[in-house]
Amino acid sequence: MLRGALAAAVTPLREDGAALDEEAFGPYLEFLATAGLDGILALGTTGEGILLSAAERRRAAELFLAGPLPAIAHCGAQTTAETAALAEHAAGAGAAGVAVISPPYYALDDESLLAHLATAARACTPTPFYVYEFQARSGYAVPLPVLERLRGLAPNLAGLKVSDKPFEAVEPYLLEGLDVFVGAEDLVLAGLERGSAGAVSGLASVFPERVVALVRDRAGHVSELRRALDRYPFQAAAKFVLGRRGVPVREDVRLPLRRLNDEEKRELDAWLESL
Amino acid sequence: MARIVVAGAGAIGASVAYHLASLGAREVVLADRGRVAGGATSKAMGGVRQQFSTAAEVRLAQASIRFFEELGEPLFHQVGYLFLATTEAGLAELEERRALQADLGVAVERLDAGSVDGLRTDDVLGAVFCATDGVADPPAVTRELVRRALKLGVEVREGTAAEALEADVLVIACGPWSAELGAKRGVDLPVRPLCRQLLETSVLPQLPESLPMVLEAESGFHFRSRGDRLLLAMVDPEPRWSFEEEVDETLFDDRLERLRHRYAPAAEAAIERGWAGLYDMTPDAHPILGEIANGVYAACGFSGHGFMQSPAVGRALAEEILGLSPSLDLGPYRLQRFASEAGFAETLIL
Repeated sequence: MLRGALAAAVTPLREDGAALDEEAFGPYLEFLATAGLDGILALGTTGEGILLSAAERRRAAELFLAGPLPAIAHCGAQTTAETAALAEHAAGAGAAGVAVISPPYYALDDESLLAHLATAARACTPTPFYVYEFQARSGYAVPLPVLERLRGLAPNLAGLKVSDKPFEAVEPYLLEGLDVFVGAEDLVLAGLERGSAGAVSGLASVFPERVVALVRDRAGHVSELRRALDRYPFQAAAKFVLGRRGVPVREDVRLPLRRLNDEEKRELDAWLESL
Repeated sequence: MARIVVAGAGAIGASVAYHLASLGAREVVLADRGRVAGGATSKAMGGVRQQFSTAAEVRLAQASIRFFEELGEPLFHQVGYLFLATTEAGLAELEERRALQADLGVAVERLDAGSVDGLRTDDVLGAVFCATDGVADPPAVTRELVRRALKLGVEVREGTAAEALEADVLVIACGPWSAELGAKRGVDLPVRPLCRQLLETSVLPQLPESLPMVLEAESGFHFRSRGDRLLLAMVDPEPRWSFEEEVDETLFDDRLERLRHRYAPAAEAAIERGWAGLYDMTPDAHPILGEIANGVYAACGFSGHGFMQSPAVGRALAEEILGLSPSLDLGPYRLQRFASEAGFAETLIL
């Protein structure tokens, strides 16, 4: 049962982002594990999951699951059929959990959203299922009545990853009997005080030790780190900094995301020097 | 204070660990080779009944129901258990059990089965109903117990073999895998795996939320609702004594026919999915509870009704381990009973 500090892992890519960099998964996952993380969320927003083909997502999930940390596989896709197929695969491959975001683009009504989530949860049962709530990315929030009804339909519903801001948007999701992981690093401590299960942090994909300290010791300042990286396309900045930290992850991201330009890299290098 | 390691993070192990911590144990580790609620707990029907055939078992169930009632919705749905008899012999047996249960204070009553909408009753000679029985989702309840245990300071170790941990006290709660760990401690636990299966129907739009667990006394066929589907189960024609968890699809048609016969809203139902899991059977279908060697306790052999008894068992065993006066008499459940001829077999295995 996952708790604590989880990294929303980046997905190592090569060939200008066109292919998985399979050899980089092992060392990257070792780097995350050595920092003391409790687990990872694979193929989420930081992990470019939505940009990969279904076959790549299956393969990447297997590579993440071969690592030393328990992994939740994000399986949210545009259609219910693809989401369910990915969820079933991840469960079969030994995922510690499956997470699914509300499909973006069409604002689903309660009925459609409930059916989508219930089908995905069913596809991976009995593996724990997590709803990935991120209104800014999906375009609409998961209504609480949908969650309540989902509990009745999906006994493997274990909790949520909530990446909303500010805390007022997170609070309603801190439901008794569900494990809630907070996404926004600024809100992790407030979440823990209110009984959240921990953090699933994009920043932890680059600075795992900082987020581990934040969750375990309730210590340290991570907001400035996050803000510094947020000045750039996040996935590219994360991969660039990982490279600078000696982790063999390339700068490649999947189009239409872009790499950092030289000017941005110089700025980040200067910032890293100042840390 | 002693370091207590509970092996097995299913419904039983989670309950033992939670109750140990809530009774003041400071150093409790809940370890599982796999994950929390990952084994038989994740496969179980989730029925919670007090209608058993022996007094000891009824008492365990009664004490457990109180815990489930406190958990409440959405973890526990108190929809009741309805037993139907279609033969004179079956009816006589129901009546006999009802008398025993009533003596122990379980509110089991005769019911006109026709009062349950959609239930076919022209072949039913009589029915008994216990309104305080119900259904729950075992993994959800187990995760909740682990959450509470964590808050009380229990350390949860997934992917960890308990025997690799240092322990002053070891509790074996590994379901069908308990005999393996017992043997490592030099104790022969007569627990063996029995493969059983559950079937799930297609979505049935008209299911009432209040549908009780319905059981046919003679055949053992039973079903409950979960969300917008029904779950069905019945004893296999030939018991499958095996660790192999295999679904026997040749039984689907028969089970579906029984369901359609009994419950009109399922007329259009299909079997959409089946899964198999393991019962941890003992020779008399009662669990083994208590100390089995110096510093080694057993909580296993629940024979298919462990989840529903897990609250009371967890509490009573925790009390025993901590040297407190037990809230329930675990005397009938000692391992030593198998050394003698005197038994008290539970006859109502579903």
